[in-house]
Amino acid sequence: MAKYYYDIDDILTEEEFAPVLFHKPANGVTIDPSAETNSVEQGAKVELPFWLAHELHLRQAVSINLPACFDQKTRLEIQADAACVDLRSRCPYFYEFGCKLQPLVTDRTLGILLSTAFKIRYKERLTKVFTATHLTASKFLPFLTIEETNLYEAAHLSMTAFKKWRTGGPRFQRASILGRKRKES
Amino acid sequence: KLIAAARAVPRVNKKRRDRIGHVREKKILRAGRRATPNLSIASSLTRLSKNATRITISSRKWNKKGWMYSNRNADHYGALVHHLSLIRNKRCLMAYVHNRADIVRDLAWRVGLELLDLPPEIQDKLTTLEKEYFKNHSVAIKSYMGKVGIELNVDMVPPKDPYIKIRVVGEIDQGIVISDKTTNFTRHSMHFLKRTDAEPYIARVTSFTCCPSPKTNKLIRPL
Repeated sequence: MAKYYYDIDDILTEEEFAPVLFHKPANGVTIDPSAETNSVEQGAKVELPFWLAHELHLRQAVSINLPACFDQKTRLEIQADAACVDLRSRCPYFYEFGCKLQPLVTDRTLGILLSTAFKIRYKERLTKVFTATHLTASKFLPFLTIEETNLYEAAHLSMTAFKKWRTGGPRFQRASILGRKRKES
Repeated sequence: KLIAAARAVPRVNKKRRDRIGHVREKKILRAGRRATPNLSIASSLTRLSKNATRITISSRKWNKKGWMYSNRNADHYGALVHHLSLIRNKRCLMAYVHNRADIVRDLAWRVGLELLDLPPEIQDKLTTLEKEYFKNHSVAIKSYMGKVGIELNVDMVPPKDPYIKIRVVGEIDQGIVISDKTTNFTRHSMHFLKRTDAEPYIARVTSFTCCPSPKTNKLIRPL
C-alpha cells in the first residue's frame, strides 16, 4: 500500500517493541543485549521492533508474544474505567499497534479489548471536546494516544470553525506554514 | 563470500544507531516543524539503496545454493536481519524526503511562487535540491495558470466579496504597484483593496520579531 510506505505515523507505529522468541539462531547481529557473542541463540527471548519481528515471523524464524502494554494490568484498568486510563505512557500508538499485532499473536481477545476501549474513550472524548475549556482539557490530553489526539484536534478544529462561521470572524489568515516561530538552536 | 558477508555485518550496529537517529528526525518532522536538513541524509539515501542491493545480492547468492529449509542456517538469518535493517533505513529516509517535498510544494501554493518571497529563516532550512524543486514546481504552476488563464493560488478560501479593508501593521517598501494604481503602504494606514491584490501580502505575514528590520516586514492585518 503505497500511502502507508511514506506515512510517518505508520513508521513510528512499527518502531514499537514487541517481545519475541527466536526459533532459529541468527549469527552476526547484536540484537540480543544479554548474549556475549554477537549472535542470537535459538530459544532466546528478545525485544525487537515490530517491523523486524513481523518480517521474521513471516519467515517463521520467531514467534511474537504480547507486549507489556497489552498485558493483564492494562486490561483490568480498561475494564474498570476505560476513559481515564493513561494509554500514552504505555504505548502512544495503542490502537494501530494492536491492530497490526492482532493477526500475528495467538490471542483472540486483543481485538475485543481494543474495540471496547476505543468505543468508551471515543464517546468520552466527544463530549469533552464540546464542553471542556482549555484548562480542563489540558488535564486529560496527555492520556490520549496519538490517534485519539488526532481525532480530538480534528473535532476541536471543526468546532472552532463552526463558531467562527456563526459569528463571522476574519477570513484571512497567515499561511500556517509560517505559523510557528521556531526556536533558533 | 562468507567473509564478505561477515565484514558487512559490523555495519548493522552502525545502521541501528543511524536508524534511531533518523526516527527521531521523523518525530521532529511530525510536529510540523522544519528541521534543519541533514544533507548527509539525502546522499546517504542513494548510498544505502546501492549498498542494500549489493550486499544482499552477494549474501543471498551464497544462501541460494541450497534453497531449502535445511540450509537456512544461522548466517542466513543474520544476513536477513541486516537486509531488513537496510530496507527499514531506506524507508525512513525516503519517507523523510517525501514529507519534506510535500511541505515545499505546500509552501509554493500557500505563500508565494517566488523563492525570494519566503522568509529567510525558511530559506536557510531548504537544501539546494529542495530550492530547485520549489523553483521547478512554481514554474510548472505558472505555466499552467498561464494556459488556463486564471490565477489559481490567490484564493485558498472561497471569497465572500471582492473588496476588503486592510490595515498595514508593519513597514513595507514604498511604491508597490497594485493593479491599477500605486499605493504607499505607510504604517497604520488603511486601504480598501481588491482581494486578489491583498492576499499575497496577508499570506506572507512574518512573525513578530523583537527588532523588526525596516526593509522586509510585510505585515497587513485585515479588518
